[in-house]
Amino acid sequence: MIGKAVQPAQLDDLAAMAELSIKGANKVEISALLLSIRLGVMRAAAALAIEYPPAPLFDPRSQRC
Amino acid sequence: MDDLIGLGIAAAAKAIASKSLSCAELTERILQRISLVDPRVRAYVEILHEQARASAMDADADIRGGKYRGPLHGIPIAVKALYDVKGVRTTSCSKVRQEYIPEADSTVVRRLKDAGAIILGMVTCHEFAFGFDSVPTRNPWNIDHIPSGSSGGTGAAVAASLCLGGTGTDTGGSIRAPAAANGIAGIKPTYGRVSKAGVTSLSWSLDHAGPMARSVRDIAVLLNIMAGTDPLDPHTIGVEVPDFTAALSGDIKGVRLGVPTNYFFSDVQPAVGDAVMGAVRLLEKLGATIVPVPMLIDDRIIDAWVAIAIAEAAVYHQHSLRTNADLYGEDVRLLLEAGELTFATTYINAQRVRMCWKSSLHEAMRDVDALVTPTLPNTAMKVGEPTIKIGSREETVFAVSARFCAPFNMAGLPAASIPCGFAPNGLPIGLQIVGKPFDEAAVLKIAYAFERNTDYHLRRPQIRSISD
Repeated sequence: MIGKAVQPAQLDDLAAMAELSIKGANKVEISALLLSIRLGVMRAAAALAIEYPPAPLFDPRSQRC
Repeated sequence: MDDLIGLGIAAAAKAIASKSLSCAELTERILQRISLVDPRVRAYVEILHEQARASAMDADADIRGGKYRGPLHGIPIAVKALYDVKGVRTTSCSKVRQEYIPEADSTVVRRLKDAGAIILGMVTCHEFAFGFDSVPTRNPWNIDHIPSGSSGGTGAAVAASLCLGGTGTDTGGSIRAPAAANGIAGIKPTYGRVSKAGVTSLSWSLDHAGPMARSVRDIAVLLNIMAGTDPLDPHTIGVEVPDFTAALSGDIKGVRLGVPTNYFFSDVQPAVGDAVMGAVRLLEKLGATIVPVPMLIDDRIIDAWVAIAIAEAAVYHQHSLRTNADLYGEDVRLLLEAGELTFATTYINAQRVRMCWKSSLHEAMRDVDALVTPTLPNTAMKVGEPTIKIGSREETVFAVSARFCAPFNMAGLPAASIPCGFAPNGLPIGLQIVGKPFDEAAVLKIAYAFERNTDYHLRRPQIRSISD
């Protein structure tokens, strides 16, 4: 499932759900970018145990080394 | 270029403090240079001639009255067009913000003004800092090339001596990349070290504000003023701000420097690899211990960075993307639209990947004081060049510019770029030095030791003025 691109023609409907019009947008490029990001992120995340948490957002105290 | 124009912040401050140079004289000379050179470089969006002159005269009056404010007193500074300056159009270099005139200064600008700095004007950036081209600004080392970005206006203005220092922001390399491309120094401090209040956000969890100037000492002087907790920015943290100039001893004996054994030296232009490895050898000669460090990283960290950046940016622009979409540049609009359509699961997984990267970096840096890498895999690309081929890769300016920088935005670590050589095409090469959280002092100490034993930071682009 994660390897399937949202087809450019389907992006209009997806955007409409967010009350966003993307008429005139480069949907081929958006679709390719979304797929590329999703594949990269999912492949990296697949190597993590499910318990592995997200980075705490906006908390500089989480910095360590 | 005369000696006055070539002064750095520290040298100018010394002359001003000793009253051998007036703030008005220095400001006037820089304004004159801007009028002659900036039509070619195009770094400034708006030049505040009269305000700068008035501020400089006030600064001179303060000195005559015995009120010397310190090493930024009377120093002409450029401000990236993302930082609010009270009463001055702060456009973020976007048609979306053409009419935005802030009613208050951003915290950093207020601190600079309080320290006596003279605000010369607003300099360009990539639209909303979301890219690395910084159109229409040109690289002063060769105006057929880009200054990189997104703080390309600051980078070009500093390199071309159109200011003595300036402000930048860095979400995926936007201070370090233009510092490298323009042959100057810049530092992205630790996340939380410098207030972003009044600075237009690109991606809240990745954005950093920081200084750019022609030498390590000068960025240390600027960081001394810029750093510190701020009640207006909940992301800042109350860690003590040391005097960063105190770290500039030049002595790095015993410092342990990690050199990544993978990723950061792959697919780089030969001149870049040679210059950075030459810098590593010099740092070793100066007393540092070089430690090979394997890194748990590949291109997927960049995918995660993009996912986080576009999703957070899409939230910031959610309203104006629905009301003023046509006003955005094509490249930025595409990224924002993609951000709107990014799944929440992709964003959350990207944050998990980020956490894993931070933990692995923690392990990798356990036994070293800092890491050194190339800042960029390449020298500045030509204007309008859509992609660049390096080794086995063909990448866009966006991808190639983020490759070595963005991983340290994901981790929030302090990272500087300083010049470490020039390619055969005459363009500068940057060395990236990455430290541990809130240890900017170590980064600056290493950078300074390198700088004082080389002359790259003293070289100046030979850019013609419009009168030549």
